[in-house]
Amino acid sequence: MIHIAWRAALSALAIFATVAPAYADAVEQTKGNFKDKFRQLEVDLPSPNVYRTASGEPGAQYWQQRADYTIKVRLDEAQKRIIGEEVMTYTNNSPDTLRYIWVQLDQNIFDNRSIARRTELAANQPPGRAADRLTFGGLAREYALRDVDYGFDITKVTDARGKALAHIVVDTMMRIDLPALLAPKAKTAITIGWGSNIIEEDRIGGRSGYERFRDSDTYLYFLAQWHPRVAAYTDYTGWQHKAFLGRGEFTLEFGDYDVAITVPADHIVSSTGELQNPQDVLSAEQRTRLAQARDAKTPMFIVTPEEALANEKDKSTDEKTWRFVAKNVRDFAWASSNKFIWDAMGYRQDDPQTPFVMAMSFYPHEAEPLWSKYSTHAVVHTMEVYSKYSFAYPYPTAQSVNTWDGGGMEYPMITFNGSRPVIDKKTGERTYTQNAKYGLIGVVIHEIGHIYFPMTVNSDERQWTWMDEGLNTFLEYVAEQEWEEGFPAFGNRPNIMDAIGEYMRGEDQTPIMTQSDSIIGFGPNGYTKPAAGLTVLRETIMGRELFDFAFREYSRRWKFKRPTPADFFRTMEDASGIDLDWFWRGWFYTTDHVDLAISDVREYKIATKDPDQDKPAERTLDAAKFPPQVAEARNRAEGIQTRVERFPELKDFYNENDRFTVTNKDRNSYQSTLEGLDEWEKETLDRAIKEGQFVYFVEFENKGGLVMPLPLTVTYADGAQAKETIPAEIWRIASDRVTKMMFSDKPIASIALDADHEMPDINRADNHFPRRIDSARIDLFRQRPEIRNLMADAMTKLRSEEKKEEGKDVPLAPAPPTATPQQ
Amino acid sequence: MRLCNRRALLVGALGVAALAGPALAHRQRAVLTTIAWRKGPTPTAPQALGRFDVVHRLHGHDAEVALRLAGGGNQPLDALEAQARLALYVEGRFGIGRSPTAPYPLATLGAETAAREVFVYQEAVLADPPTLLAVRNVIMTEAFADQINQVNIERPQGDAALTRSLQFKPGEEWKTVSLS
Ligand SMILES: [Zn+2]
Repeated sequence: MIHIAWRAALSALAIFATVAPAYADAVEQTKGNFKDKFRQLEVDLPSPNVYRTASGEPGAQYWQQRADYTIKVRLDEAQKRIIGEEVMTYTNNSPDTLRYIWVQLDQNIFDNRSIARRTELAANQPPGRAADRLTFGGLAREYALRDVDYGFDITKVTDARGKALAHIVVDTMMRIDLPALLAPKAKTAITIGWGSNIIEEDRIGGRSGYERFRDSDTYLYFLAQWHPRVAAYTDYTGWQHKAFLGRGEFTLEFGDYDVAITVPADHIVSSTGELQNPQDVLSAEQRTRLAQARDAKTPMFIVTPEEALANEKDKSTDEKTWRFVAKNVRDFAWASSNKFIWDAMGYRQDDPQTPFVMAMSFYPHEAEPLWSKYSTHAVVHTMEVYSKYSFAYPYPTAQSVNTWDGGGMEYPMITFNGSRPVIDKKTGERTYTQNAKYGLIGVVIHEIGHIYFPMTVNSDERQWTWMDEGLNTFLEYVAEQEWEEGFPAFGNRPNIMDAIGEYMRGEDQTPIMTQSDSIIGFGPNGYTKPAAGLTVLRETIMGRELFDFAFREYSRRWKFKRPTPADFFRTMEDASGIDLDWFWRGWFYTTDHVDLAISDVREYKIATKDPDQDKPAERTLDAAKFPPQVAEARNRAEGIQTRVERFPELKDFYNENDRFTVTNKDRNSYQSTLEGLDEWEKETLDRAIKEGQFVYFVEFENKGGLVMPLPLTVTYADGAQAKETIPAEIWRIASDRVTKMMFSDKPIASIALDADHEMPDINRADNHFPRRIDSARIDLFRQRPEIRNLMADAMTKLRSEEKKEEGKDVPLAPAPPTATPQQ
Repeated sequence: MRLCNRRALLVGALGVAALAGPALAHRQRAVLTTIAWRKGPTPTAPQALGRFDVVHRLHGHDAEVALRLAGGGNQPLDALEAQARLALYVEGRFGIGRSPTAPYPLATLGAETAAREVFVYQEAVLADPPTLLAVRNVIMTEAFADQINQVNIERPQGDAALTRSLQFKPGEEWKTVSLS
C-alpha cells in the first residue's frame, strides 16, 4: 500500500514538473499557489546611483558625451554616390579617461561581408527542399547588392594637426585610437574623409537611399546614417557598439552640426537644421514666398507643382551648395531632388527658446493631391498636441519628406514619410484610398512625434524599442484622437483596446522588456502594447490629471538627456504618488493578458430577525419562487371539489397555518436574541432595517493573469445607471478570484465589467451579469441561411469556371551534374 | 521608425523577412486568421461532434488587391460575386490538417463585409480535437514580399484564453503547432 501511494505521489510530481518548471520565483511560489502580483520592482531595477536617482531623475553627477560636426558633402548624381569630409569634435564629459573612441559606420550593413548580410536566412520554412523559394524581389536584391560595392570607403582619419590616426573597422563600427589619452572634460578633434555608394532603397530595403521613378527616369535622394557618427558612451553600458543588424536602431550623442551640401543646381534640399544661405540657392520669388508662409493660416507653396514639374525635366550639370546649421541635435539627415514640390506654414508657440517653428513638406508630383492637403497640417497638429503633453517643440524647423509609399523614419527636424495616391485603372485619374489618407496623417504624426521621443528624450533605441516607439505611439494615438473622432488608428480600428487583445492573448510572444533585436512581434510588442498600457494608465488607473503631470515631468527631466526604463518607471510613480510596480511588472515584464469575468452575483436583504416581519416576507418570496400547480388550477376549472372541501371536518390547525406562521416560540426566541445583542449591534441592526438596503456579493475572476482595475457599470431595476471603478489593488491577496460586497438602496438589474472597452479584455462574453449570449461572428453567419445559400451558389458557379493561377516565383530547376566542382 | 502601416502594429513579424532586406519593411500587409475548436453540431454541419471554426480577417484595401488576384477586377467588395471570389481565393491558399500530408476537409461557408473589413468563414468537422495541428497560409504572399499572415489558434483543451500563434511570410508553407 505504501509503495502504491508513493508511486502515485511521484508521478503526480513528475507531471507537475513538466507543466510548471519548479524554480524559485519571488512572484510565483514553488509550493502553495500565492502569486505576488504586487511585489515591488525595486529589487529588479538597477540600483540608484549618483548618475540616476531612486526617484527617476538625472543624478547629481549625471553626465553625457558631446559630439560636434562640421561636414562638407557632395552628391554625385551620375555615380549615385556621396563624397564627404567631416571634423568631429568630441568632448569627454565622463569621469573616465579614454584611449580610443568608437564610430558607427551604418552603411557597412550593405557590404556583402557584414554580419547582417552573411546571416540573412534563405526563404524556406520549414527547412527542406519542398519549401525552397526564390522570389523576383529576392533575386533582384541579390543582383543589386552584387553589382555595386556598398559601405563606407574611409579615405582619411587624422587628428587636428593632420596626423593619421590608427583605426580598425569592425563590421558596422570603427575604433579610432587617440593620439593621446582623452582625460575627463577634455576635447579632441578628428577628421574623417569618406565616400559611399547610395543604395536603391526600393530594391535593397533600408532607412535611406534613392528612389528611381522609372516612367520619367527621375530620382529622389534621402540620406540618413550617411556620415561616420560617434557611438554613444554611457554610464550604464559604456560604449554602445553592438553591431547594427538592421532592427535595433540608433544611440547617439547631442551636438551642433554645420553641414555644406553640394548638389545639382536644379535640386531642392530639405535638411535637419536651418538654411544659412538662402540667397545662394533660392530664387527671390521663393524667398518672398518663404517669408509670407511664416504667417500663413494654411500651407503655402514655396515651389509650386508646376515649377517642380519643369524642374525635373531640367537636367542641370551645374552645382549649388546648401549650408545648414543645427544646434543640439543627436543626428542629421537630408533629402535632395529636382522633383520636390515644397510647401510651408509657420507655427508659433508660447516658448521663449523656440517661439517660432517653420513646418514644411517636400514631395514629388506622384504624391499629389494627397500631400499638399494633409502633410504640413499634420506636422503642425503634432507639435500642438505633443507640446501639451511633453514640452514645447525644441527646434526651429519641422519637415515631412515623401520618400516612399509606406512607412516612415525620423531624424531631428526632418522625417521621411510614406503613403501615395494610386492611378485608377478605369478612369486614369489619380485618387487616394482612405487607407492612404489616414496612413499619411498617422505616419506624419508618428515621425514628427519621434522628434520629441527619442530625438530629444534620447533613449537607447538599440536596447529598448518600446522607450521611443511605445511612448511615441501612445502620444500619436492621443494626437490622432484630437485630429478627428473615430480616427482609424490601429488597422482600421479606432480603439487601441479592441486591436491589441488578439496579440496579447497569444503564447508566442516576448515581454516588452526584451532587447530590440530579440523581440518577437516587433510592431505589436514595441509599439502597440506599450501604447495601450499607457492609455490604460491615463484613462483608467491614474486618471488624466495625475498621468499627464507625471508624463510631462518625465519628458522635462530627460529632455536632451538619456533615460533608461527604470527612469521612466520611477518618475511615473514619483510624480503621481501612485504605486505602479504591479502594472510595470505585469504589462512590461510578462506576457499575461487581460481576461476578467464576473462569475457570480448573489443578492441579499438584511433580515430583521423579527419573526413578525421576516416570516411574511419569506412567504411572499416562497410564493414567487414556487407558483401554484397548473393541475390544481385545471381541477378547479373542471369543477373538481377536493375531499377536504367536501368534508370540512377534516380540517385542523395545519390547514389554517403554514410553516411561515409566526408562533410564540418564534417570538420568545427573537426576544432572547435581542437580549443577547450588544448595544452597538442592536443600533446597527436597527439602522439596516430602517435603510432596507440590498446587499450583493459579486464574484470576479481573473483568467488572463494581468491584474487590472474593475470598471463597473451598474444598471438598477428602475433603469438608472451608475459607474464605478474598483482599483486593481482588490487583487493583492488573491490574484485569480475575489468577492466584493456591494450595498445598494434599490435592486440591481445587471452589472457590466469594462462596458466602455477601457482595457483589452480578450473575452467579453463573461463580462456581464446576468450572462449575455455573445455569438461569434461565424455563428451569426451560419444562422442566416438565405445569405449562405446565395453565397454557396455563387461559389459553385465560380468553381466551375475555375481559373489557373499564375506563378510569381523564379523557376528553379535542379543544377546539372557538370555544375558540381570536380574533385 | 514606423513599420510600413498601421496593420503592422498589430501583427507580429517574426524576425525580419530575409527577402525584404535587413532594415525596415515598407508596404507590409497582413491577414489575421483565428481558428477555434468548438463542440457540437451547427446549422451547416448538423451531425458534427465538433469542428474547427476558421475566421479570416482581411482589411478592405488588402481585400481589393486579393480580389484582383482572384480575377475579380475592381468590383465593390460588398458585391456577392466579389465576396464569393474572395472566399474561393482564401480557400485555395489556406489549409489545416493532422500533418501537411493529411489535411482536414475544410468547408468554405462564405464571406461578408463589415466595417471596412472582409471576413471569410470556413469550418472543418472532426470528432475530436487533435493535439498537433498543421497550418498553411499563403494568402496574398504572392502579392507582397513583406506580407505577414498571423494565425491564432485557440487551444481546444481547457481555457480558451490560451492561444498559439503562427506567422507566415512569403515562401513559408506548412507549419505545425502543438495544442496539448
Ligand atoms: Zn517609430
